[in-house]
Formats: sequence, structure tokens, C-alpha cells
Amino acid sequence: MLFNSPLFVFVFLPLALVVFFVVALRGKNLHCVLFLGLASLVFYGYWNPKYLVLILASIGGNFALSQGICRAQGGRRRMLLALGVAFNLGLLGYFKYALFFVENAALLLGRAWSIEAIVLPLAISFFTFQQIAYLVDCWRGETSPPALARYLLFVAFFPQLIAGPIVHHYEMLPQFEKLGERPRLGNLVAGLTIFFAGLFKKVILADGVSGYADAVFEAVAAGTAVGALEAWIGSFAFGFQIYFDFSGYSDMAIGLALMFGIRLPLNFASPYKATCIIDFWRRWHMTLSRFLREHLYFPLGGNRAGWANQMRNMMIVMLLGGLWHGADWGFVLWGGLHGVYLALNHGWRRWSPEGLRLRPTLGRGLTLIAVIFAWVPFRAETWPETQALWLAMLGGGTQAGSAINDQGLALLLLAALLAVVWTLPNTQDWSGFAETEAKRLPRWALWQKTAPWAAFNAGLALAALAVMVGRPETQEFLYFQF
Amino acid sequence: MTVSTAPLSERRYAALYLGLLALFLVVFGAGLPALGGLFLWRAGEFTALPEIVARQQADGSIYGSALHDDEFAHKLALATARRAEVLALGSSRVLQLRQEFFLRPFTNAGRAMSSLREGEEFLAALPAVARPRLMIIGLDPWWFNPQRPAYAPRRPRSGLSVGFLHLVADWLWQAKLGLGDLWRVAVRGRKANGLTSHPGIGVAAIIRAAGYRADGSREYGRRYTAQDPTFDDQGFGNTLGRLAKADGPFEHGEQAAAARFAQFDALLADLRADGVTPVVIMTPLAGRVLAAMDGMGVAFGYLAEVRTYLAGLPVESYDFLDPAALGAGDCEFVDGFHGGEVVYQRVLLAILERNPASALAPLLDAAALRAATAASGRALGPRSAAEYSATEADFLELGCAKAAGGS
Repeated sequence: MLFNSPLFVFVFLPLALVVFFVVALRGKNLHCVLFLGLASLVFYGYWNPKYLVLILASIGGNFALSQGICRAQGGRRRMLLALGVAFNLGLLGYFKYALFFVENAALLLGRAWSIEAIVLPLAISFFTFQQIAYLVDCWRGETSPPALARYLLFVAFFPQLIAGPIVHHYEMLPQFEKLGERPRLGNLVAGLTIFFAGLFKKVILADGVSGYADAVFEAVAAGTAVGALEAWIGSFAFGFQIYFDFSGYSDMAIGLALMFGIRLPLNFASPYKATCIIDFWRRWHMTLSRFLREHLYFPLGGNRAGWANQMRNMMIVMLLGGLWHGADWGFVLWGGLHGVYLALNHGWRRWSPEGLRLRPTLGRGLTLIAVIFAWVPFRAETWPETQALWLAMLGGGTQAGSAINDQGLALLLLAALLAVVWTLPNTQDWSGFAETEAKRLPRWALWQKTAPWAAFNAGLALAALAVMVGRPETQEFLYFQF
Repeated sequence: MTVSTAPLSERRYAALYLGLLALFLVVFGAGLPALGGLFLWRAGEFTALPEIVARQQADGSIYGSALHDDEFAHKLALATARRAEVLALGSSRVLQLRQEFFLRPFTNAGRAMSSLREGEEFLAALPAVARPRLMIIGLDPWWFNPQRPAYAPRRPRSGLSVGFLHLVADWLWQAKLGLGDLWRVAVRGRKANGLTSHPGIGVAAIIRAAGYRADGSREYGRRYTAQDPTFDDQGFGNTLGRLAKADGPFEHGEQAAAARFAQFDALLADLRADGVTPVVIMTPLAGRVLAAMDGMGVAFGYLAEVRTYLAGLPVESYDFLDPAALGAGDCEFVDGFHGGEVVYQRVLLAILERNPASALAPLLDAAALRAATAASGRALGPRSAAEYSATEADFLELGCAKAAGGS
């Protein structure tokens, strides 16, 4: 079930909210937890009921391991942690990477090995990482085991199950202990407002610009030569598509959780406003960056053993971060390219002359262009497709392509979207959910509880709903099966 | 009137926001879908086929559905009701044969035979009383390409469903349907298409003036005036793209299937046994489309075999695949593989000129055909053009001088 599907918006969510508020008003925390856990499993099982067994096995196995780790001492404790990490990575490896590894090994060794394609279970990358982090914290003695129902909800909580944010137990479990206490109308209204802002971004902005990206990438895939302008239009269109897709999803997740009185961590903070790549990674998929930093970069040594080791560690993190997005060399290339960008950025900070600092506006523009350039292998299906598009972007394509008929309109739309991402406040600032840049914004640009804002927000919701219902098919989120 | 911008209490703000949301949802969530359903119903999308056929015979309505692929059933009902002496059977590539070209009653059952098996089914279902004296069979060469499926199952005609309401919203979103048209049809019940005098049954007939005339032939409506947003074959781009991608009828095939020749032989034999005189015609493709196919060599290797087979048929048969043989230019086509009215008038005239003893000869008005084909360079014949309130445009974007009447 997708957040942007009529079934979710008109059936699942209203039912879940009504039952939750009824249960909450009776004042039993455990009942609220059990209900939301059950609703989350229904939400997950709707996609494919047989994979409920997988997620329940994963939750059950990790819960048992966490109990064991908390109780054990010394070497046994470490062994249980290793077992837990192996269990989680084994599941992820089998479902997500088995085919990739077998195909590449066969290619490398010149063998005819093959296996059947395996269906990637929804959200496996997210619930695997979340549980690995939990086991590590158990091993560190930073948490005591919760009740099974709360643990299940911690893993399967439907607002963040499918595509994050990747949450820490310390962000969620204390909130679940108070779940349903004094349900607030204000949370419901704020949650709905944020949710519909996200839906607007997804169904109007992301899906609206996706046609230009698809036209260019599909033309290149079909072997059609594209012009430089077209190649940039297609790449920028995809850059905006994934931006509003993920931003919209993150808003929807935050809004949904807030309706139930739960505050999720921020996952997206205007990344195209970043003035350098280091800044970009503080704003894009923030909880994934946090996970990789805490559970991969720091254990590898971080920046403690000199410049060269720091760069090596960073590159490993970025390559594996790329691979986390999917079993495809395109994702690895995307991660690797960002690793190179980060190395250049760190190098610039370290060695550039004191007076030679880029103006923020120039930095922002350069960063955006670098990010857009790197999205190409992320979206392209094959290496030749990436090559052809990069070549075209660098001026090596045809003079005038035919993938996009209305290039003027496309440029106008992209310029409008650029103005949106560079000048408007992000949802968390606008709504007051969090204040990352809110202090720099004029008061009129921030949501207030006034009649005009109520009408504006209701209109925004209506526009998003109208487009959502009008679409013959629900468009998946790009992070849906990562 | 001024709207207060004073801050509201949390409770009052929530009441206002949720109230507005509920109001919008009631109006747009229930009102618009209801209007969409009313639009489809009043447009005639859910009218039963016997009633559609009866209305067509009574007032000359055009039937053009935007929901149903129901040509087989529609043409069967039409042929049964009209009991014409001459029947054209084939795919969409016979649809420009019209009653006005013939001196005797004629029905066009184009699109009731998109494959050999579908043709067999149509003939089996056609009541004996509706059997024609002469049947023009439009032969498509790809029927004999073994790479093409022998048969595509037909979908049943659908009833009202929520999915159709999505469609109405989608048409509005894609600007295929204007709010004015929605209101005009749904509320005021108007059926005029604004281009010809024929009333419409079905959304395509009313909005695009496109559908099937009372004789079963195809009316392309706003395509001729370059006002059809669904048309996408400008410069034959779509057809040539399908050719390159081996899509649909342009699936590549090096050799023809002998079994399918035998199947067609049997169909002809059955017709003759039933006292029906068959005349088989392979209708033209646009010149540049045929040239592209020829240029692809063995990819369309089966074509030559089909043409040889057609020439050897023991019944009257004609190979007009190459429009040059008719003197027809690309400007006379409605898309890459469908000739316009004038092309089909040329086909009939060519039959008369090549074979004065043709079974068709006594049924055709040679002088009228000759006069009509004089207007070369247009898709619409002069009689149909006179019925249009707008002139034919260069809808193919080939640089055709339609207004001047030259190619």
C-alpha cells in the first residue's frame, strides 16, 4: 500500500486514526501499541502477505537475539552480536544481492552460473539496518529490552517502515511508552497538514516532472541520440523528481507519525540548498548518513588515522552506501562519484588558500550541478546509457535531439522548480515541526493558525487529492524498494 | 468582505481546517465523480448495442466509444440489422469504404476481423439472413506473419465502474476534455459534435466527432481538422517508430506461415459454399511507411510471400499495398497505415479500370468515383468534406497543401 494511493488515504488511514483515537481515549498504552503494530502489519502484508512471515521472522529473531545480548556477558555477548549482524546481513544479502553477486561472479570467472530472480521484500533494507543498529546498542549496553509489542512497533511502525527514516530505538521506544496518552487534536491537524504537503510534492511536483526524465532516459536506452540541452533537461528533471519524491515521502512519514503523536527524526532538509557536497550529505537522507557514519565510518576508524585513511574510509562508506540503494553497479558508481566529490571537498577545505572560499551562491550552484551529474548512473539502467547521457551533457551528443518536443516549456518548469527548492522554506520550517532555517524566514512565510492558512492548507490537500485520484495508476516512490 | 488573519485557538483552527477539508471532499470527492458518471451515461457509453444500432439507422448518429473496444459486437449487430448486399470485412484498414461509393446497400464491418480467427468467428456468428451477396475482404499481410499471435481475445463490453470515473478525471487533467464539454453533455444532454451534423453516441463521437457512421465506416472527425489531441502520427512518426520497434502489426517476420494461408483458403471456400462472392483486397500503406518496410529487408520478408499468395488466389483479388499503383500520395492518408476516403475511392476505381468484369462493377458508380478522386492530396472525399463545418488541415504535418487541394 502506497501513501499516495486512494486506498491508503481514503480507507486505511481514516480507519487507523478513528480506531487509534477510540483506543487512546480509553487510556491503555498497550492497546494503542498493539493496535498500531497490527495496523502496521496489515499495511505491510497488503503488498504481499507471504512476506509477513519474513518480517515477523526478522523481528522475532532480532528480538530474541537482543534479549540474549542484554543478558549475556563477555565473549558470548560479542558472539551473539556477530550472529545477529550475520543473520540480518544474510537476509539482506540473500533477498537483495544474491542474484547480483552470482551474475558478477559468473562473469568474472567465466562460468555459466545463474539463479532465479528473487523478489525484493518491501522495506528490507530499512528494517535490516534499523535492527542492526539496535543490536549494536544492546551490545554497547545503551538500551534495555522493551516488551515484544513495542519492539514490533519500533521495527514495523507503518509511517516509517517502507522508506525510512531509519530510526534509533532511543528516538522511538520512549515515545511508544507514552503512546496514546492525551491524544491531541493539534497533532492530528499538524500531521494532516504536513502529510498533504508531502502528497502535493509527490503527486504534483515529482510525478509532474518525471515525464521529461523518462522521455530522455528512455530515448537514450532505446539508442536514440539526444542533444546536450535535452540531456541536461532529462538529468535535471530526474534530479527534481527524486528530490520531490523523497522530500514528499519524508513529509508524509513525519505527518503520519505526528497524527499518532509520534515525532520522527528529520530525514530531508533542503539538500539542494547545500553550498557544498559535505553540506549536501548533512541534508539528504539524513538518517541513512547517520547510520553509515555511526556503524561503518566510525568503526572503520573515521578520520582518526590520518588523511589517507579518512579518504579510504569515506570511499568505502560511499560505495557501500551506493550499493545499499540497489544491487546494481549504477548505484555503486553513484556512491563512488559522491565519494570522489567528498574527497575533493575535504581536500579543498584542507588545502585551499585561506582567502579562496567560494561564495555560498556559487557553491550552491556548483554543488547542484555535481549532484545532478551524479544522478545519471543512479537513474540509468545500464553503463552505456550512463555513458551516452554523460557524453551528451558534456557536449558530445547530437546538435538537436528529439526526445523532448517542448524544450521551452520543460526549461520553464525546471526553472520554476529550482526557484521552489532554492527560495521556499522546507516543510519542517514552514510548519514549525523543526526549526532548521526558520529564524531566517519572514513571518508571513510560516504557517500560522489563521483562517487564510486553514483555507490554503485545505486547498493544497484538495489539489493533491484531486491529482492523486485522477491518475489512472499510482506512481511508486523511488525509494520504495531500496 | 475581509478575512480575519487573527490567530485562532487550536480547537477553532482544527474545526475550520477539518471542516473545509470535509467540505472540499464532499464537493469534489462526491460531486465531480457523480458528474463524471452522469457525463458517461448521458454520452451514451452505457447504451446497449441494439439501441445504438437502431438509433444510428434512424438518425445517422455516429457511434464512438471512449471506453469500449466493442467493434466486433457492434459490427455484427450492424450487419445483422442492415442485411446489406455488400459487406466489407477486415481490420481498421477497410473502414474508409462507405455506402456512398456503392449503388446497392452496403455495410462496413471493418475491425470485426483483426485476425483470421476473428474473421471466422464473425462469419460463423452472422445470421444467414444477413449474409451479403458480395463480400470485400480487406486482407492484412501481417495475418500471415507467424510471429504475430494468431488471435487476441476480445474484452467484454464493460459496465459502469469506478475506474471509468478515474478516466473522466484523467481526460480533464490531460485536457482531452474541457469542463465546458463535461457540463454540456452531463447536464444539458447535448450530443452535437460541432463539426458535422451527425449526432454522437459515445464520448469520442461527441467530443472528437470520431466513430462509426450508420453504415459502419469510420469517421475520423477532428483528426482531419488537426484538433484531435489523441492523434500522434504526425509525420508518420508513431507508425515508423512502431516499425523500428517491431510493435503490433509491424512485428518482424522473415517468412509467412503456410498454415495461415490454408486457413484463409478455407474461409474463402466456406464463403463461396454459402453463395457469397468474395473479393479480396490488400489495401495500401502510406508510401514512406512501405518504403521503410522495404528498406528493412528480411525483417518483413513475409510480405513478398503474401503478395505472391494473393496473386494466386482462385477468387477476385487485388494487391494495392503500394499506394503508387493507385496514384495516391501520403497526404491522402489518415496515418501511416490507414488510407483516407480518397484512397479507398481510388482503390474501387482502380478495380473498375483494371477489371471491368469485376463482380463489383455493377455495384459502383464509376463517374462519382472518378470525380471524387480528382480531388487528390486530401484524405476526405468531396462529399464528406462538404459535411464538415471546418476544412481539412495538414494534420499529418507533411506540408500537404490541403486547402488548395493539391499534394
